[in-house]
Amino acid sequence: MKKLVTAFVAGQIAMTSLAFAHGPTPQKIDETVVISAPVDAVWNKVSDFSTIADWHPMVESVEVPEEGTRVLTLKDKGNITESLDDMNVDAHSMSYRLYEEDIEVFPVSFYSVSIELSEGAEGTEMNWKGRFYRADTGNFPPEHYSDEAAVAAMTEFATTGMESLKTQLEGHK
Amino acid sequence: MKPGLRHICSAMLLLTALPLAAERAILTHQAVDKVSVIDVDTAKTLATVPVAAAPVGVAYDPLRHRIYSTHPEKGLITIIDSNTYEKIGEIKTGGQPFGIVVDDSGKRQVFVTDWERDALLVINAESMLVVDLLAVGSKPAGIALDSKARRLYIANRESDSVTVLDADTPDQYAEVKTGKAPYAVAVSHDGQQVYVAGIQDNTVTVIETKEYTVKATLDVGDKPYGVATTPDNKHLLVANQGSNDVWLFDQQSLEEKARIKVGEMPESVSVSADSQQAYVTNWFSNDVSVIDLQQRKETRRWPVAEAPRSLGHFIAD
Repeated sequence: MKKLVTAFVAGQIAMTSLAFAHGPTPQKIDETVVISAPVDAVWNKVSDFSTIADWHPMVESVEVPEEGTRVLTLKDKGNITESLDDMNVDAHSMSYRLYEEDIEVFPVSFYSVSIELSEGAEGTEMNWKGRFYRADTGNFPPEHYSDEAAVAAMTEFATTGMESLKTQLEGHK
Repeated sequence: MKPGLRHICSAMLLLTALPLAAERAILTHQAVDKVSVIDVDTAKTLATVPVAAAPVGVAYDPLRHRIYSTHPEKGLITIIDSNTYEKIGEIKTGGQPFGIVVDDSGKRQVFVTDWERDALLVINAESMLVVDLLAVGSKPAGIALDSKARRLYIANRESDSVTVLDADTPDQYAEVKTGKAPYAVAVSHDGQQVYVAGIQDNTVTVIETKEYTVKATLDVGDKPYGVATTPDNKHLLVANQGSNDVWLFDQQSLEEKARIKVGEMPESVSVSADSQQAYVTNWFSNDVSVIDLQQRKETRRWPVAEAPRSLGHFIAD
């Protein structure tokens, strides 16, 4: 049996890889926007995994190194990579996760997101859910890598994207 | 009443009373720093206990009438009296205590995985001190104990493996490769098989405990965070956080028998002592799904406090 010697040292090294995301508390967002457009029109935009830059103002460009993976270049920031987990055409739902993080670009060490569309009385309800971990998963994160910073970033990204899509599809100026 | 008859009557009362003894679900609410206890028959919340920040793992100690919750963000474990629901103390472990299991053999041991220090902590349940700290794989999460065979199984999330330790001596028997990012682990009640869920490749690795060899790798739903077995050795249950369902397998044939829809982002699954009901904590939708294992469907869904997780076996008598 190995006795613990080096493990103490290893534990002190600050790691921010998504691999270490489980010690802290997962956070959630749950945002919904109603878009006055048919479900299919919204779905056509949202379900194309490679064209989010066409409707999300925070995304400068997208590269697709392989099917189901997208590298987002965030405006004035840098790159993060996402990978698609599920695409359900019948349910108008999809889910993806952060595959390669960069906490300088986006202060979250790991997230999974699901987007679901449904028909409501006033149009298409677009629901954006996220489960995620703060950037610094150690027990003493600085403010800009905290749970609050992660929630703010995830909320901003979801609502900015949905509001922009709404504007586009509803034909506002 | 004749004394003889009275004895028969009380014996009958006892027999009829036994199956009615309600079990309790113990929930950790990591986002709101609470542990709640729910009567599974009435779905009534018996207690909501404010605890230290961010409880994750949970264990019930039937010998000392205690509930333990782990607090990785604080490096401590909370102890709650399971009769009065009063907080009776804290164990300062340091590191990030995560998964927890109580030695129900009568030995004074509580075993806890330490996410930060890649270790298993052994705690004396009487003195409440950490008495040993043993190296395991990288980022240990879930833990299971076979108290009869005296074996501990620890899922090492970053080593893609399970460490098999002796529950009484600092001996390691094996480290078995699993699917990607193993998180939850369960051992069958007959001790024959261990099941480990890989949350990144959507598998459950089935390990035979005779020689610690991989018997099968099951394909399961998206992001399997919870795994449990039934005490009657009939079923294996896997809770899938990405697909919002529980998959039911025959424990002997390892055939998939049912896919049961539950709440949003299910996290942990536990089974009643009579093997009839399963309970699932739905982290995102803030509820608990009750599954009838004969009907193979969700029969009830209780609203509970924010973000229930309950890593570990969370059903108590």
